[in-house]
Order: sequence, then C-alpha cells, then structure tokens
Amino acid sequence: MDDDTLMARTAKGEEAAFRFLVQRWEQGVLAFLIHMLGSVEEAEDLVQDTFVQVFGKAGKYEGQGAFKSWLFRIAGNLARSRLRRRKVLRWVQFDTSEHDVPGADKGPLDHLEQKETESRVRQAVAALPTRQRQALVLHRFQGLKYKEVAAAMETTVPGVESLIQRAMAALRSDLAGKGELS
Amino acid sequence: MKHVTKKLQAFVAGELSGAERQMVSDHLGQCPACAAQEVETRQLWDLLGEATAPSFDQSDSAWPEIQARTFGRQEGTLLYGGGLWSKAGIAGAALAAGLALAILLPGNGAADKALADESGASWGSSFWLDEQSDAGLSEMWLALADEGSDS
Ligand SMILES: [Zn+2]
Repeated sequence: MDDDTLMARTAKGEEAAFRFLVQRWEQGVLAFLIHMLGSVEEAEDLVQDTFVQVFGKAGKYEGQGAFKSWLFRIAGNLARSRLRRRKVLRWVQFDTSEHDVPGADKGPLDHLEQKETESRVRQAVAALPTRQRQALVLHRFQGLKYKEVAAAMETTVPGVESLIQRAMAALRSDLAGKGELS
Repeated sequence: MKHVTKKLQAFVAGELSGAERQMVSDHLGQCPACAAQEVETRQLWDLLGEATAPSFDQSDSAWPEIQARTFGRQEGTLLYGGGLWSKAGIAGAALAAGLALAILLPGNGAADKALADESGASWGSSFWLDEQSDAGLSEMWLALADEGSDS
C-alpha cells in the first residue's frame, strides 16, 4: 500500500495504517536525525515527535506522492529547532559494534580501520553548517532526489544543488586533511 | 571545450537527465581535468556511503511510544486498556446519563421509561422508576460493574 493511501487512512484515525507508516519510515527518520543531531538519544526522542506531528497533521496532508519530502520536512524542522535551542552541536560517537558485522573477507584490522573511517566521516558531516548537512544527509543517506530535498527544505532545486556542492567541498577539504581522501 | 565541473556532483549522484548525462559523459571521455575531478567526487561520494547511521533492530521500534501518544490519549480510549476499568468507565457514563434523565423527569415513571428505552438505557430504567434513593443508586452501580466484569 502506498504512503498516500496510508496517510488518507491515518487521517480517518485508522491505527493499523498509521502503524504501517511508522514502521516503514522510522528507521530512515532515525538515521536522518542521528546525522542531524549527533545523538542517538535525542534522535529517538524526535522520531516520536515527528510521527506524533505526522498523525496530528494527517488531515491536512495533500502530498500526492510527496510523502517522503513532507515527512522529512517535519523531522528537519524539529531537528533544526532543537539545534537552535542547543546552540552547540554535540557529537556523541555512537557505538556501532553490536550492529556491524565485519565483512567475511575483512580481517579485524580492516574492520577497525573501517570503523575509524566511518567515525571520521560522520564527524565531518556533523561539522557542516546545518542547512548543508540537512541537504546532504537527505540526499546521500536518505536517497531523496534534489527535487524532494527542495520540497523538504522549502527551497529550490538550484538552492539544494548549491548546498550540496558546498557541503561536498567542505567535506573534501576536511577529510583530505585527515588522510581519508587522496 | 566547456568544462563540466559544476555538473559533476549531480552526475555522480544520478541527478542528471538523459541528455545532460550523455553530454557530461562525452566530455569526461575527452577531458583529463574533468575526469580527474569526477574520480575525486565519486571517491568522496562512496566514502560518505560508508558512514550511514547504524541500523536498528525492528524490535527497537518506537511504535509503542508513538501509539501511546496518539491513540492512547484519544477520547474513547478507555476501551484501550480493556478489562474492568474500561467497562466501569462506560457504566459510569451510562449511569450519569440515567441520572440526568431522572433529574429531568421527576415522578413521571412512564415517560421516564419510554425515554430511557429510547436512549438505550433500558437496563437502568426499571430500577430508577422504583427507587431513586442513594442506596438504590449504589446498588445499581455495583450491578453494572458486575455486569461489566463478567463479559
Ligand atoms: Zn573538462
């Protein structure tokens, strides 16, 4: 069942439809919020807030296929208002050990290096200005097209293109300095 | 030859339309400078791909909390928890409705009964036609609570 149908049913108060939506999207929203906030705990809080808002606004949703943008706009606005309140981005390194499985062809050392790389990349992403980070994470990690990112961020496609280009340039210089890029 | 530097990010991300993609692709085949930059862009793009947030088990779903905050607090969710309390809640509401009728129509037994039947409160009507004392009311309450706990 597509998202628009589920939203229409959610608007009528159908619990099963809403549950389906939550379970379809919560991982993506959580990942997005982790990148935005740098804290798993805070991200988990805002996942709840995001879906509570989705439910509350379901009656006003007229997305016609744009659910993903609409959803990430809500999550993004919550993240940015949280960041404004917090002022300083706190990047808590989360432990991925229980979630990751080293590749069968990789030894423990490779796995360690891999984790260090991941951690450096995450920190570099976390250090980006908020809007650049939001555009990049939605595009690269959540797979939103420029058009969808533009809708989620209430801006234009060239605006998104520029944000992503600046983000990539900043990442390149940051990571090259740390030896992650040749 | 016009370089395609500004299109490379969109090219790597698969954001270009067919014609544009072909144009960039053709250019990359002839321009070492842009080709080198494309490699750099792709390298960073792929590196980013390794840094996605950890995935969580479906058992970590936030649904129970979200459900409690949306459906759990809605009107009528006395039923939600099930059991005696919800039944007692309904019984209480029905009792209040019965009382309202009793107050509106004092001493007119036949009319009381007709109205009570209409409102679906027939279970209480015969009772409060006969007895409208406090003792009678608490007896009715107990009877209702009892009825609720059986089913
Ligand atoms: Zn060129």
